[in-house]
Formats: sequence, structure tokens, C-alpha cells
Amino acid sequence: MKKEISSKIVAFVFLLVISALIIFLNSLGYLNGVKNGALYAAVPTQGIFQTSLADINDFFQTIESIGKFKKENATLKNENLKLTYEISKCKETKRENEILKRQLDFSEDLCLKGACFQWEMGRIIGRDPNNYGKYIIINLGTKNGVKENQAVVISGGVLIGKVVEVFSNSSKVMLITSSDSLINSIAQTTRANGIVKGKYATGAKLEMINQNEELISDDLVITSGLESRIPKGLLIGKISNIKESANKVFKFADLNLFADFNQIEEIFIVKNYD
Amino acid sequence: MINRKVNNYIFLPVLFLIMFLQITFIPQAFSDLIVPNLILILLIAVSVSSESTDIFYVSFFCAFLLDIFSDLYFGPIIISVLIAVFISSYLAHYFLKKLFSLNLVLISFLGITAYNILYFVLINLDNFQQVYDLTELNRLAVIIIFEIIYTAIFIYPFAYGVGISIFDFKNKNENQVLYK
Repeated sequence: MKKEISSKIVAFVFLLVISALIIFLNSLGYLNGVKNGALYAAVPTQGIFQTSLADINDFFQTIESIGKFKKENATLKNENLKLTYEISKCKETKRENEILKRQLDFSEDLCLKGACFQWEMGRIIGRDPNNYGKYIIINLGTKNGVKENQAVVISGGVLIGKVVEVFSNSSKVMLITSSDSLINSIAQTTRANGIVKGKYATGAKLEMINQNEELISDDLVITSGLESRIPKGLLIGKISNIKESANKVFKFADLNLFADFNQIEEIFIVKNYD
Repeated sequence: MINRKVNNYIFLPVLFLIMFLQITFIPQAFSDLIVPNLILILLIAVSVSSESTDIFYVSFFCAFLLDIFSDLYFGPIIISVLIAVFISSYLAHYFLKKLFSLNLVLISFLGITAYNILYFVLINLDNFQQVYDLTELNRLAVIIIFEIIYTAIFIYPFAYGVGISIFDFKNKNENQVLYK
């Protein structure tokens, strides 16, 4: 009896030491090859799994939603999102044009939907197995020209995250709902500058807004373009709940994000924006 | 002494299947809910059913793969899973006299809770302020409650599955009989 428990303790301690060693080696970058190899082997199988399981999942979801006009609702939502995006794009273009007219500087041309940026389409092949909704794995890697910090969007120019780790044929994307995610953003109407920070997979909030800047409910929040590889004007969400207090340095607001992170399958990477 | 040998031909494919489900289908299927950690529940089910140290090596391997698909920082899942499995195994050694008992559920709850708390602390080591953030703590509490519910649902079927298909019962009579 005692022998069994002591052998368990020995195995446990031995593996903890190995774990510590692995963490140390990973911090030095020595495990990249192993991780790359594991992902390389897993990607094809995972892709098949993800696609077929997504189909099964979709089938059950469709059954569940009979009588709820799911498809109609989804189409209308999509259409609404596209229109919101078009309005946002028009507003941005108008504003940009005004600036450009004044400055005669056409270098900061805002053009989305593939007109100026090079987009690479990819698929989600893995999701964070934990409940903090931090990451997804996509099937694009260095072979496809993916680099760290590149913006990851869905159709309609909606930002969902940025690339944080790149392997040969896959990449890890940190979602904007991750508490580690910080995206430099602006409110479209008031031009209030802030940081969009994730809330443990439950949403995101707009933080670090100066008290003298104005926030309006339902105002669109877009990327500011101050970060390298994340272009200006990508949609993030709408301001929903403004929280301010006179004795605080900054005010912040909750966001209604445009992306439904659980339903995303195809993504786009903005490649030629530095 | 329990000396059941793990039948790798059945166990490993099942394990791989659940692991693939854990990183693909399950997060999607439970899109609006807390995602059940089925792989950990299975590992705990095996760890409480056997005195073999093999489960630690299997847990290490699973956690290693899950870590690749999870956080940017490598290691939190490995350490959390190892500790959770060890706690369950250790407690089962002393307190689990009959497999299908209330103690099985309680021990599994402790293992799952230990995993979630450890993982939460480890992923926030670089920004410890978040640990004290009420929103994040509320999230952790909700996760633990849901994981306990999932454990209550899955632990008996998993332990039963482990009993009938994974372990070799040829030496059953020689062993301490857990499956009464």
C-alpha cells in the first residue's frame, strides 16, 4: 500500500520536474520544433474533424432552431452587419477624404474588402479547450505569409483577434475577448481613443478613455490604426454601457461585439499592412 | 493491490478521440455554455480506479498536447492536470473503498476544482491584478460550478466505461475489488 503511494509520488514529482524543464525549454524557444511538428501532424486530421463535426453540430442546431426562423435571422443579421459596415466605411471614407482634401496627402488611403489590402482566407481548425476563450488555431502559417500581430477578421471587416504565434502551416490567434488582448481603438463619432480589452471570453470593454473625451451609447468602436499590422477602421463593436466616475482617471464602457465567436469558421488575415 | 493493466489498444484511441473532441467539437457544441473538460474527467476516472502510475504519464502526454492548442504560455495545463490527477489519485487511495460511491463524486469534484483554480492562477501569473478582479473571479466561480455539474454527470459513466472496457479484469479477484 505504502509502496504504491510512494511510487505515485515519485512519478508525480518526476513529471513535475519534466514539466518545469519543458516550460524552461519553451521559454528559450527550443520547443518550437516539437510544437510545430505536433501541429503539422494534427492540422489535416483536425481540419477534417472540425469540418465534419461542424456539419454535425450545424445539423443539430438546425433541428433545434426549427420554428425560430434561424436562417432568416442569420441572413438579416449578416445583412445588417454588412450595412453597418458599409455605413461605417462611408463615414470613415468621408472623414478621410476631408482630411485628404485638406492635406493633399493620399498616402493614408482607407480601403477595405480586398481593394487595397491583401487578404488570405483560412479556417479555424482548433479552439481553446479551456473556458477562458483565449485562442483559436487557424490553418494558415508561415507558408502562407502569416506574421505575428497580423489582424484576423471575418467577413464584413470585423476584427476578431490577432496572430500571436506562427507555425509552418498553422497559427495561434488571440481573440479580442481574451483578457490578455489589448487593441488600440477609437469611438467612431466622438473619436475618443481607448483600448479594447477582453473579458475572459464573456466580451470586451473599451478602457483608458480620458475623462474629457465623450462616449455615446451605440457608437461604433473601430481600430485606430496605431498598431503595426492592424489597419485602421476594422469594426469591433458598439458601445453599450458607459461607466464613468468623477474620482477616476479614466472612464470605460462595455462593448457589444459584432463577431459571434462561437459560430466563426472562416477567417481572413490582413497580410500586406505594416 | 490493484494491478489492472491498461489496455492501450482501447484506451489510447478513446483518449485521442476525446482529446480531438475537446479542441474541436466540444467548445463549439457548448458555445453558449461553459465547456466541459471531458478529458480531465476521464483522466480522473482512470486515476481513481487504478493504482498504476501509468495514468500520470498518460495525463502528462494529454496535457502536453492540450497545452499546444491552448494558452500562449506553455505549461499551465500540464501542471494543473498533473496536480489534479495526483490529488484525485491520492485521495482515492485512502478514501475510495468502493468505486461507485459518493466518495468518487466528491474526490472528482476536488480534482476538477483544484485544476480550475490552479489553471486560473497560473495563466494570470504575469498579471496578478486580474486574480483579484471580481469579474474574473465570478467567471472562475461559474466555471467551477459548471465543471462540478459536468463531473457529476460524466464521472459515473466514465468510471463504468473504464471498468468494463479499459482495464483487464482477469486479475480482478486478486485485487482489491472496487467494482462491487
